[in-house]
Amino acid sequence: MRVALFVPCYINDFYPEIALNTMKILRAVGMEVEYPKGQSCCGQPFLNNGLVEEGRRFATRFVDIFAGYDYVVSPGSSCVSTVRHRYPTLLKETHPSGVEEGRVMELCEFLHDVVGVENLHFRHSFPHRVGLHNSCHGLRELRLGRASELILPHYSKIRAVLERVEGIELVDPERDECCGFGGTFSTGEEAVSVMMGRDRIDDHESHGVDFVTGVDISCLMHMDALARREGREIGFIHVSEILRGDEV
Amino acid sequence: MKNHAAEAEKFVADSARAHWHDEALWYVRRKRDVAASQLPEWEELREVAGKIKKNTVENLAYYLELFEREAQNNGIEIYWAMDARECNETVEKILREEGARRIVKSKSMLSEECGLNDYLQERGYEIVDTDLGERIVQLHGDRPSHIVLPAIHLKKEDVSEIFHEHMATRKGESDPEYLTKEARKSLRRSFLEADAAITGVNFALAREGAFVVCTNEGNADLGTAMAGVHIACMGIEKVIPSARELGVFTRLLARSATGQAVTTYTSHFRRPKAGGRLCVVIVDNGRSGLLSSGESEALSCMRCGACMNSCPVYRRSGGHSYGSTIPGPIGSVLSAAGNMDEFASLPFACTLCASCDNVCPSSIALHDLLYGLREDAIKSEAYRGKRTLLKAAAWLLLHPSLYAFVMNLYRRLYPFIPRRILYGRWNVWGRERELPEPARRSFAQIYEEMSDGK
Amino acid sequence: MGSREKILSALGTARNRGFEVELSFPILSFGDRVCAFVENLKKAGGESIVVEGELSKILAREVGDADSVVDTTSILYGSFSYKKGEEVDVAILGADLAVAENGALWIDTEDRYPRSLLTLARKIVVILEEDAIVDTMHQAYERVDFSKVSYALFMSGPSKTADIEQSLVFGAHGAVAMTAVLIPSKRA
Repeated sequence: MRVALFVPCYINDFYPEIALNTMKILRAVGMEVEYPKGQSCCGQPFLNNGLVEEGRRFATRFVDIFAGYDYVVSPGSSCVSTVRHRYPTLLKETHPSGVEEGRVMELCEFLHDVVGVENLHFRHSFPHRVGLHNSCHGLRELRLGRASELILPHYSKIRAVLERVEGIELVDPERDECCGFGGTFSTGEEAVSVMMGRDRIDDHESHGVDFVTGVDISCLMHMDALARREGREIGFIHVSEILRGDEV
Repeated sequence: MKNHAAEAEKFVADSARAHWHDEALWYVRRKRDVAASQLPEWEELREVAGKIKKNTVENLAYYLELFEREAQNNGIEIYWAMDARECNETVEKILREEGARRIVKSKSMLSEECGLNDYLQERGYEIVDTDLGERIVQLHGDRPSHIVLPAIHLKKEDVSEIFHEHMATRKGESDPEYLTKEARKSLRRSFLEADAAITGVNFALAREGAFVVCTNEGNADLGTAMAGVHIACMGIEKVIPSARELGVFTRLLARSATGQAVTTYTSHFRRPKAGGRLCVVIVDNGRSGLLSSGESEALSCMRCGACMNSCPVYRRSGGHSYGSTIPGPIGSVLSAAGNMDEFASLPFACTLCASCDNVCPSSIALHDLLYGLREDAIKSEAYRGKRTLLKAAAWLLLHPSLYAFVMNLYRRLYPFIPRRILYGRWNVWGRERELPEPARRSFAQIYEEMSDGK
Repeated sequence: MGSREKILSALGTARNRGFEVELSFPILSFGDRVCAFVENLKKAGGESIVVEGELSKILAREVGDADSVVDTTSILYGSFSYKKGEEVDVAILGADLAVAENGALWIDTEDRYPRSLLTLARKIVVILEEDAIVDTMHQAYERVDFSKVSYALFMSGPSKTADIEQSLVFGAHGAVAMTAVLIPSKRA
């Protein structure tokens, strides 16, 4: 299968190892992976601030660049969610027949739904206690797991994938609550944002975890930024850093 | 323009209290989860409720006329009010006809919205809020900070002081049982002496020409049983087709609001009591305008408060930070949709986490509505700087080569930028947080090198 | 144009689409409705007694040494009188509908006594046949004939509030205690 790697802009510049790992993982499970040139932001920061026209330009760009692949996979759940949740309304006029947003997937989601967890045989181990931070857009828009508000059977695609790595001990925090990043919310509503982030860190720390992981590095970056300032020892790593790209 | 962020900052500054507030409401949220999980059909029920509300709202004129006709057949007087002023005037007119001076009022968010208390007090009426939470807030000269738990922002020690001052309770005695009993005694007098009772309406039944008021305290029942005239104020969106649909809503309302299986009193008013008057004021006050807007879904709200309890921002910023009658996610939608100039900051008082969508018993996609409202909100003068900055960033990101060039420059210069400049006053992020470090090479560069090597 | 017309015209054409709720999914049901009712009423702060032996003896025990009792069922006392605004110790009422899922009892004054009895009685005792308990509010509302109702309520337990720091206190304004007296179904 031809899979295009969609690398969110901040991952490209600040966390390239996440993109690299994602590519390696996808190759290890037998995908033909390409990184289409000219990709940029998905437009989320602009759309989330009501700049619809700007957002539409990013959306149009996106569908042009990623046309023709079987799947588009990305290590950023909120960017994927922007494509899946926001593009359809945005492109109603220009792409009335739709743009198959459904084939745009988050990494764990792709491994779970398309590759199948039974086909994941990681050879390395990760012997650590790891807190699982459920990023909101992954949890409540992409529905990668059951949000605590929903009266539905419990499931977590992220957990199912991570548990294929030997030795990992995943710990759910008390609350599957937002970390308070929220893009420009982090500065526009600084006080609440900071409090939310600290509360999430406290929650994870109280469970004695070594690391906190998740499918969205922006949330992890937010908590990491707070933890580093306060000299806390807890580490924040993206799921791809646990899955690694070794042979599967 | 009201500024949520500034008000929230004040609330958060008292960290212990903000955390106490957050925990208190999270506890209610968890009670809701437990109550909802008792019903295997919960999610389907929410969906059906949303459909019923949507259908009713789309055919509101039909259902309101039906309600009016049937209610009048039952001896209920129906009044219509375009706006808050007319609502207040109508209520006062009825009170004057009755020669009523002493009024007991049970909880009605609509009367808060209309400023009914102030209106009547200014004209010499004595109006007593009888819901305990509202009474506390009223004595305090305060406003409700939550639609179901009006005094959730106050601690029992605060209530103790308020009661000591106004009701001469024992100083320093803050036992909730004691305080509640004292309030009961004091309010009992008001009930027994009341000339008129004002209530809200939870559901109006079109086919039956009746309406339902839900309380836990029984204050609406006691007040209306004693006073000669019962005036119920309802927003136009409160009507539902019939009692059949009540089955759906009464199962959802209390479970969502407080985690109870049902409110203690679910009271149905269909005919006036012997020798009494039963009046319903049907109020628009901007609702019909909402109907034709992109936010018409907000008219499905049944005022349970679950979105507030589930909102991580509301729990930490307190209801007053919203500066609107109804706070939290639904309040932000209603306020901003009604008056964007005043409430442009509210659509941004949200991380778009979507937790509110999942708890809403009417399945309102609240976070999508808040997202949509930002299109207008960003045009507000207050966000001019932010808008300009974002537009510049968009322009840059839409030119990937130029953007890559700028980022390369940044990653090279980064090690040499002095901390005091990097974390200067301009950097709001950096006041409490470290900046992420740019990687030595971008993924695009790494990928290119890898491809070259092949 | 009056406000009525202005509002209605702003709402667009009046339509009746003949909408009906479709509950096309399984609704909660209980193997033992009495048991569920008792449990849920207890959660709401109410007591339940299943009648064994003579009903009047049980009622007498519930009434205890109360000074003022209003028995609207005429089981304990032959007649009753109650004036609006009177505060009484115990009110004995009858109900012919109750709900298992939430412990609510359908109390209809049928205009037989002033409404204030329901909130000014310190304790409310409701007599109910076990057969009258339905699973959920859906079935409950199907059974209510509103054409006869002036004022009626579902009451689940005594009056309560948690407005001070979420601490539950019974007897906010209305009854401080509530007991359901269940008469076993004749079929059993």
